[in-house]
Amino acid sequence: MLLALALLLSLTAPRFLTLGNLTNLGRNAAVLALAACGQAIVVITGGLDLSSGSAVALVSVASVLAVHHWTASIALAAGYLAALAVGTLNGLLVALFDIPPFLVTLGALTGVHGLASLLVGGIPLEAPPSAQFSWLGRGALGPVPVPILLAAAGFLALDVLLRGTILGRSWYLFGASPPAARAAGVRTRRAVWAAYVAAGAFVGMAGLVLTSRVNSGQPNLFPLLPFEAIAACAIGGIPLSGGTGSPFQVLLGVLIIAAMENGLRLLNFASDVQLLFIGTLTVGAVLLQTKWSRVVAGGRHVVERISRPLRRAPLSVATRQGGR
Amino acid sequence: MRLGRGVVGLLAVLAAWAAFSTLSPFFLTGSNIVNVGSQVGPLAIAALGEMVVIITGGFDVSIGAVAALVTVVTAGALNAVGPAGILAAPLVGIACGAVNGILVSYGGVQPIIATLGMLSFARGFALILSGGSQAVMLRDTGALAWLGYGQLGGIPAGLAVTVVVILLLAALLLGLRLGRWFYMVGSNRQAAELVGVPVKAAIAWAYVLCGAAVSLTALFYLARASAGLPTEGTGLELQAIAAAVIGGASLTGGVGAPVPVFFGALFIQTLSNALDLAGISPFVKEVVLGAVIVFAGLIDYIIRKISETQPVGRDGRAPDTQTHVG
Repeated sequence: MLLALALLLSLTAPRFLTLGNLTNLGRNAAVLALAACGQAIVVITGGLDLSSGSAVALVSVASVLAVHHWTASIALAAGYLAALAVGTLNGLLVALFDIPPFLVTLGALTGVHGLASLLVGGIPLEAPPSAQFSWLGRGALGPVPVPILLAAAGFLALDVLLRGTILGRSWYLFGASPPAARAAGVRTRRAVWAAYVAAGAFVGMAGLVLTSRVNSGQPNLFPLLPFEAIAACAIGGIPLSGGTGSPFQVLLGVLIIAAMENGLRLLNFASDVQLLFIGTLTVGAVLLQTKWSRVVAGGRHVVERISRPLRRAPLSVATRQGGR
Repeated sequence: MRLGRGVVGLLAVLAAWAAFSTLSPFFLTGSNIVNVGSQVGPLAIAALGEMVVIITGGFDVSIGAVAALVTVVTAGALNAVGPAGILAAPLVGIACGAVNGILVSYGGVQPIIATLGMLSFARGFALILSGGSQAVMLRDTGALAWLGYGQLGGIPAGLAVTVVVILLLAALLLGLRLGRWFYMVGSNRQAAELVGVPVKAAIAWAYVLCGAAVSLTALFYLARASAGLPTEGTGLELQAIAAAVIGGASLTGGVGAPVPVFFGALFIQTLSNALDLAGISPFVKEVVLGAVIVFAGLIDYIIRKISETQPVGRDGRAPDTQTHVG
């Protein structure tokens, strides 16, 4: 984790630390941050959500279709409801029928993407220009862009949800050990279902911000979103086996990914290379976490070996004791 | 119970054929059956590789991207050194599988993270090698053409190769120690460790086998397109996992057999063929595939419920043995 942060700092070479770039980074990271908050909830329960990319696409398509008929706020509400519906369906299937989350959300990934494409015939649909509609993605309150505010609110909400509510505690309990949670009187089915609905609520927010920024309904909006969100959780140090994880870790993971993407773009790397880097970074970060103690021990061993001949020779017993 | 799982795929295929033959008059014509038979090969072989990983309790979402990388590298190698370049395919596939396997087993990285990383790595690498989403055209298809369009005594080459793969895989799973280790590791890892199974090596081998299978799938793609495409194989992992689960492999590990998984793949291919014949939009196809994946999970749930009511149910016993041994 610390090593990854060091990597972040080493990337700060050229234009990285300008205010304009950092605001830009924050704007871009906001979508990933909101989606990663949702992902974190599901991961804490020991599950996984692969459907958020398709859900975001459905949000954009649904809200843009609606904005052609009704006002901006109704359209946004319609998009948000679509995301909630996807989350509810995921949760029902996982909680009620014990289908592995991987399988359910994989099905949703395909099915929801197909549905979104079907609604607009596979091609992007432009939204009519409207200041109200694009406020969420492009607007600002004072000097701070709205997406950054929303992401901050998202982290706050996640923190309250995880630490301050019974539901949040039961997610940890269930993720750590489903039988123990059941024995402790947690209504596990209901808790798991609620986890996916809550994830849908966060993903819906991410979808609205993104839709409002691109101002169009696109069935292929952000297919890599679930993977980046999982990567953010993993890089932040949340184990996919469930039971632990905090909003701060999510924030850390999101910032590392966003900083890296931003850095690679500033250094003019093609998107293919970015793809390659993200994959390597994610696996590397997780590998480091699982093997951290060994790496430290191994490193200490190497340092010991190298430095042994260089250390002061013991002069007498007294000085050695004093020296150590 | 194993039998119950295995039959689901076959029943699904039969039901699908019966339903589709009433929907479209072209469906049960001889030429269309040959068509489905020749198309099923690549998916079936990938699904069989995926099955091996699923038996050990993991899964591999990188196979589509790895297939793309294999087609690009092999196309380049064939153009550069002639027929010997075909060796690049198994090399790349096995190398990717080995990296996945070593990360999961010795590295302790969860399968989803390791293979997701491989997905974006392989896809990115394929795009870079081909100069950004351009096809690497094959100058001479040569012997590869047989894979794509050839026949062996009236049977499409794809089907013939699949049958050989099924026989080899069945021999490995039933006859070799490695095969038994896969099942033992998947059904109860701690127990397998205690009876002396080299758990980590077994898991690594499963991913290597999957990589090898994917390279064969990629050769079919290469033969069909006569070009290495960096965008090839998107969604292959989805279809392969769906085929394996419909074919009775359980995502919790320890269960799976080659022949039912072949029928699972045949079902997916049949479905896609029938929807094409009926002139239904590809987007509806996606929705249907998504529903099928979830439905496969539902069937798995029902079978588990039935087996739990029996006294020797696997799932009911597992935690028990763990507490006794641990």
